[in-house]
Amino acid sequence: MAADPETTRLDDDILAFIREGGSGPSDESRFNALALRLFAYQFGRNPAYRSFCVARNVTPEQVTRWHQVPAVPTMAFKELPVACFPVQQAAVVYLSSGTTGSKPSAHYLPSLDLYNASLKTHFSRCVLPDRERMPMIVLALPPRVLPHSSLSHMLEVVRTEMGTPDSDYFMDEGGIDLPRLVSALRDAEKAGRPLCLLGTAFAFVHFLDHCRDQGLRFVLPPGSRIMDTGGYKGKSREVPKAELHGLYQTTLGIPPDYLINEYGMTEMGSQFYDNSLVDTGKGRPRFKLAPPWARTLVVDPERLEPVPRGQAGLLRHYDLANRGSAMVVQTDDMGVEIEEGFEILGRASGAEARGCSIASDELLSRAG
Amino acid sequence: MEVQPYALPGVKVEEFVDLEYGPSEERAILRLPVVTPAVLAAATESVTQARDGYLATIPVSQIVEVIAIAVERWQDPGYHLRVVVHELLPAITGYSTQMLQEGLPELLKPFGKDGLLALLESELRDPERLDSAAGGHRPGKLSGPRLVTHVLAGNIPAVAAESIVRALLVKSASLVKMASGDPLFPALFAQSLAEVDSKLGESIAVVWWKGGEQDLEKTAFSASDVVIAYGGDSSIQSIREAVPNGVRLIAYGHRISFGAIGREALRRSGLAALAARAAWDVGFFDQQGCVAPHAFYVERDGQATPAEFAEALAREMQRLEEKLPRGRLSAAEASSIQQSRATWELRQAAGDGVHLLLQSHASTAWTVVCEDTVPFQATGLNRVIRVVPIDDLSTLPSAVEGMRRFLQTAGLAVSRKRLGPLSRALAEVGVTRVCPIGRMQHPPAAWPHDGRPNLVDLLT
Repeated sequence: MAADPETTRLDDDILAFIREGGSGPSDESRFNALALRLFAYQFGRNPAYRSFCVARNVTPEQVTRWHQVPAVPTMAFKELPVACFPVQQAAVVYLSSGTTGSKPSAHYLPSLDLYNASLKTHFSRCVLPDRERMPMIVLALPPRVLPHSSLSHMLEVVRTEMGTPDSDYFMDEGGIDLPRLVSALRDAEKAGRPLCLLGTAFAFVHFLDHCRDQGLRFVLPPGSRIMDTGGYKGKSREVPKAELHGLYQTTLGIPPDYLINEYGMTEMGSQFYDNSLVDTGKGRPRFKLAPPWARTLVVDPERLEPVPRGQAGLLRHYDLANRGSAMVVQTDDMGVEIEEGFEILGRASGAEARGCSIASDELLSRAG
Repeated sequence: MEVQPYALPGVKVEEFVDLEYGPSEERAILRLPVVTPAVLAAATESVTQARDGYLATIPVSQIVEVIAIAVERWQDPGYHLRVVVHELLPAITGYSTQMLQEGLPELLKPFGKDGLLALLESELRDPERLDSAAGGHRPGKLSGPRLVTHVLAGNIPAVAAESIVRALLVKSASLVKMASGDPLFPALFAQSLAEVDSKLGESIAVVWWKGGEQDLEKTAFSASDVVIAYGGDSSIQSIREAVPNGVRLIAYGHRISFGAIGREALRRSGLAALAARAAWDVGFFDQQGCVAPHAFYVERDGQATPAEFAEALAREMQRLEEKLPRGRLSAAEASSIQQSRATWELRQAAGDGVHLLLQSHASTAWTVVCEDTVPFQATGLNRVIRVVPIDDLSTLPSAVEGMRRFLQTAGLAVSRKRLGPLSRALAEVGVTRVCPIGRMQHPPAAWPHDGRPNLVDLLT
């Protein structure tokens, strides 16, 4: 569908900001100006969000700083369409995988322009800061299998636009193609050709378990790297981060700076990555780096107000790439501010009853 | 203050572990014995012998006296064990001091003499059948198990008392496994019994270990005749797998409750009082028990509307908060309330069936939402309650039927004429207890817990 002039101008300006912002320091006043424009836009185009803001006495006339913009909770994406346009006209809808029986989150996108620009720019900065393309091995399901997975889409874009032509999936509905993966890694070892491995943490854990059982070890060429993402959702044993990093190092020969964890969510158009490769050799702590067109606040769960720096709380993201849905998303992820980013401490979702009673989240996961 | 958060009569323990609770400003530390299979084996042996040598030989009327005296002492705010509770339990459980001060005696009241006699008589008709001389085989003689292991969930303190009392009444020794959420009150309750009758106290061991330790569970369960377990589906499932054949498992899993108000009960003059009773049902022990309502179904076409009831309920929730504040929440619990609230607000703004959202100011203390979600759903607990308008209570059974497996208490405010038919219809869809609104949290000792007898199921 052809967008109206206001939408086109806004998209163009956000796109320009995204494309310029790949490596430079973030421009606070430009971010703020775009955030206020986007708030006014979403306030004007989503009547439910407008009433929600008015009930909080927050309107575009009063707001002067991005962090004053009211947040939409992630749960809302499960319960109602969060969109500034008729969702029948969505170019794509991303659905969360969720737990069995629970409603998925739905994120309707009017087009993929902002989404793709955001993912490519920030991926390139955080995962490929030192090269244009490299051979990629994807340990996740392709969009053909998971057409509504934002992660599958993201990895497909990365593979086709930043991978060498031989970049490929090593996983399908039947699981990981272990023999083929092992031989691809051996080939890279022999050829001295660095690889980029991308996929879900549970797929990596599955592969690492296989290597342990078979006594397999690799020393992948320098420059090889891993981008992993996501929780495990009961699909494999959970491995603490330190142990997983140790295994990546001993089993695949990839040093810690080349291990980059991605944090993304269905409800957001942008992703966050570890600063490890961007800051390689600088001896800085590991944290999640936001793209210049996004901000994160840590808020306390009881009052939803920002906590003092260094204190744990719930993550709230402000993302200009969410033009069609909601710029501000209140998550139930716990985190803490570190340097100019944050680290994730885990999920705060799912209130669990302490005893014989039952909380809504438990029933949802059981109803299936 | 000397606090012993365990009871191990006749067993010497050498190793202890400290558990820390609460935020820094009200930190509590409990020093608990490290339980090994050897400690457990010694404990089960010791309490079982004490049971054979004493508990099994005294008349049930004497047991009732001992329990009743202990329960009476707990009613005294100056009782030294209640002082310990007030000092430590807020930090350990998160419940507010006021909730524990006012609530704990209420929780224990049903186990006074009258309540215990009613329980015995309702289930056993002639409780003296428990008393005939040991070894005798008089017809009609009833005998209880030698040892019951209780696996507690730690949500509501009184569950421990209720469980121990039932075992005592059938003259069984008890091994009580406390939950990490409250490894104190059960031990204090056992201590209060031992203070009244030290020999009876020797047949109760109370310990804590981290749930799921298979060696310990195996030792405990294989020494027992009956295992009583409280908790969520996954913990019950793992206990079920650990209980050997021939040992009876009585499992109290997830349950959920609701209230319903008929139009005839929605008189303006009585609305505040009705709402206050409803607020008590929601707020007592922060909705953590399975008897706490998650929704009130309110009939349309009364003198007061469902929305007016919701407003009255909100006022009473605020009043309750001022008197008995909601407890401290984990980040996950608070986050869950925030997510629900903001989503209800958006749905209300979108015209998606949410009529009214009322909530405590600048806190998650209480939330009342009036919405058209007729099929019964659980809320996130901790004083979050739905008010659901309904055209006619005759459709109530079908509204809750989807939760059949979990249903427990229905608190009703309806005319006498409607009470019988509605109760029967609710029983058909799985409701096991019906009571007036305001009494949901206070089942008598003789209530059939989840529809089953409490003592008969323990008999061997």
